[in-house]
Amino acid sequence: MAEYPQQLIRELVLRDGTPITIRPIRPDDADIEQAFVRGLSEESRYNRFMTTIDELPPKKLAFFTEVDYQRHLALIATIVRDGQEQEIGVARYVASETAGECEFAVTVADEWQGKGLASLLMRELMEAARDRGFKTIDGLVFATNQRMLDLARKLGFEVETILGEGDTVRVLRSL
Amino acid sequence: MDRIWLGQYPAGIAAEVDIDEHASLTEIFEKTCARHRDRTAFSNMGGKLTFAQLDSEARSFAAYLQQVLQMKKGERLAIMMPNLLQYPIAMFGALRAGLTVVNCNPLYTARELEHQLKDSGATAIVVLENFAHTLQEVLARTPVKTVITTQVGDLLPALKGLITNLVVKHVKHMVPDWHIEGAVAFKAALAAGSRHTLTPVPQSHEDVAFLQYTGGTTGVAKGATLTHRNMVANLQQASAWIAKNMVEGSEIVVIPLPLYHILSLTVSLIFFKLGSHLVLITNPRDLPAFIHELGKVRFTVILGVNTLFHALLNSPGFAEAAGRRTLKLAFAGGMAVQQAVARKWEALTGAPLIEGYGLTETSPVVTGNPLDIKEWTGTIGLPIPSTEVSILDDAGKALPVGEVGEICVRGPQVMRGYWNRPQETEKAFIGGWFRTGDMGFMDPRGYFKITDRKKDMILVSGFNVYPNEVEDIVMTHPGVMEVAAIGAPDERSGEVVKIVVVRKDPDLTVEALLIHCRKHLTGYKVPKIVEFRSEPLPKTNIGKVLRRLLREQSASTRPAP
Repeated sequence: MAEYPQQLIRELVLRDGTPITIRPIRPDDADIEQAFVRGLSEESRYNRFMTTIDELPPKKLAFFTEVDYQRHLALIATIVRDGQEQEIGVARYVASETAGECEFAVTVADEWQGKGLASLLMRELMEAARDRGFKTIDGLVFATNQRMLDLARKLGFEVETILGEGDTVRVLRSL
Repeated sequence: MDRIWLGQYPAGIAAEVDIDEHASLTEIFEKTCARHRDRTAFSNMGGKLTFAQLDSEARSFAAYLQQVLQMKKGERLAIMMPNLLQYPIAMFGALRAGLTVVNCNPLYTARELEHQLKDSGATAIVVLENFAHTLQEVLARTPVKTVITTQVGDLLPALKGLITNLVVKHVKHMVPDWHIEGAVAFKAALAAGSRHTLTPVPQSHEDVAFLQYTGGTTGVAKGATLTHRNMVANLQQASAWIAKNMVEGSEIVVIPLPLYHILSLTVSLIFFKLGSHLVLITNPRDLPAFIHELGKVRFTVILGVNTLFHALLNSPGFAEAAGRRTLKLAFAGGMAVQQAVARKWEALTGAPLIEGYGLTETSPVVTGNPLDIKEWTGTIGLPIPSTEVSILDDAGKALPVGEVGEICVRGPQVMRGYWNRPQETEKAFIGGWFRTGDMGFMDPRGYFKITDRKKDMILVSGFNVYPNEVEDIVMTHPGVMEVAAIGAPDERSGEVVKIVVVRKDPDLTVEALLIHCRKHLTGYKVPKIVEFRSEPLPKTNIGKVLRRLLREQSASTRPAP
């Protein structure tokens, strides 16, 4: 079992004053991760997975929570509600076939969007990826997902069109 | 901005039109009826309405809505029927009473109808009996208080109407049993209304004429709020475009596309304003009957989509109807025109296919080919008067001539927004420009060409289908593990819906899945191709479905018949 990277745990405060924790995901986060996915709006889920799903099937849920923290890392943002930890956002990368490249995705619960959380998660994720030797990070985004495209640009990503694919673009940047 | 396309305008077409010439669609309606009184305005199935008769019946209906139902200005009336003489009466009557019209596809499933009636807040509906059973299923969950039903033959000459109604119901069995407490017959409503006096309702540009529903990425249909200003503007703009080639009071225009679709609605209004005779075709899918109708009139104009023109060209009997060479103009919209269709059409009819472009959200006409072209240009044409079109990148920056970006529009025909959806409305605009979701470029002359689609959408014979809506329904079937809906190329429809399915239940059949789909999706949204796979859908490492790969794989396999 990979060693849990304690050093990636952060206690932060959002723009609106809410205290949050950003930490690497653990296998025992399966419940809160599934609740997070189920709680997303249809549009957010569609943007993230590029198809219609209601929740993560068992194998996918395991894949998402049993990460090795090197080639696959997920940072979740959590708050405490009624004594329970609740996932409100996640940024993840998975190493690509080409050495030094990784693919990312970032998702924030709808009620928590617009508070700078996606930026926070991405900055932490990109720094961790850099530390682990990755040279570039990229991802697919629906061409109509304006908020994601705006975020990507703000974080220094380039937006690339994909030949023959009007409705999807690639965003990428060097680390 | 520099409107270079103005240099391509045919002589006599001004750059701007006067929107303020008319205060509302109702004003246009009343003026037009007064001007062309004894001419035929609409004909259908052997029946007809002169402008004077239409004026009178619409007034009766308006009086019924206002005086008997006590409907207030701004309330919504839904109309749910195919092309029949009742349609313009109901529509103009509602507009005259100051109401907003909500056009409903009569083939909607209960689920789709319920959503639209609730979302629009319609308090009354006019529905063809054939579809009353669907309405019955959902009525109690909607705000509709009054149901007005009509039968196919209601406005046909007495004996013919009677026989038509009997045949439709008892021979063809096209009217599934229905029972709605307190439903009013359309003819009874007209009679009741004729005994009241309509109080004229002052209307202005800011009043809402139509809530025109269109799909969206997350499958929820949204109502484009089209004001009288939007509609008056598009009529003025389109009229300016065609005025030199059309003769007021004498065109005979064939309308086979359904009036509940914005293309048909606005084009019909354009020609109505010109005092034309509109021949409504109720069921264009019945090609022999359709061509028979064409043979009966010396039509000068026809509206269609590529699918329709293609079907006509391949039907026996059409060559004869077209060969009389009375056709001045064929308008094509809604989907791309194929070169082969355009060439064949020109050769057969002697008239060019005039392709235009627009969306529900733009009332709809944005661009059109000039009427003096000798042959198909392969472009969507030039922006019509008082319209600006710009190619923008996703940051909202204008791109130079020849570069591909998103086609964006500014003009008085652009909707105010989506009904009760401020966030969706905000997303539809950038820096004051309406984002069409279509990709294209402008050539050095000012002609626009569409290259691709930015919206993740499937276009089936000019109707929009959003993958998410189809996937959503398919996922509710317990035998399905995952699904992706994509557009597969189709010679007739342009595209058809294809679903790639991974089953949970290995015994799930295509037929069972389609039965499930048909229950919740109207015809054009139902998948025409179903592919079962035993491996999971192709995804990136991080779990995003590779829709492009699915499309590529689908393009290289022959679709099942």
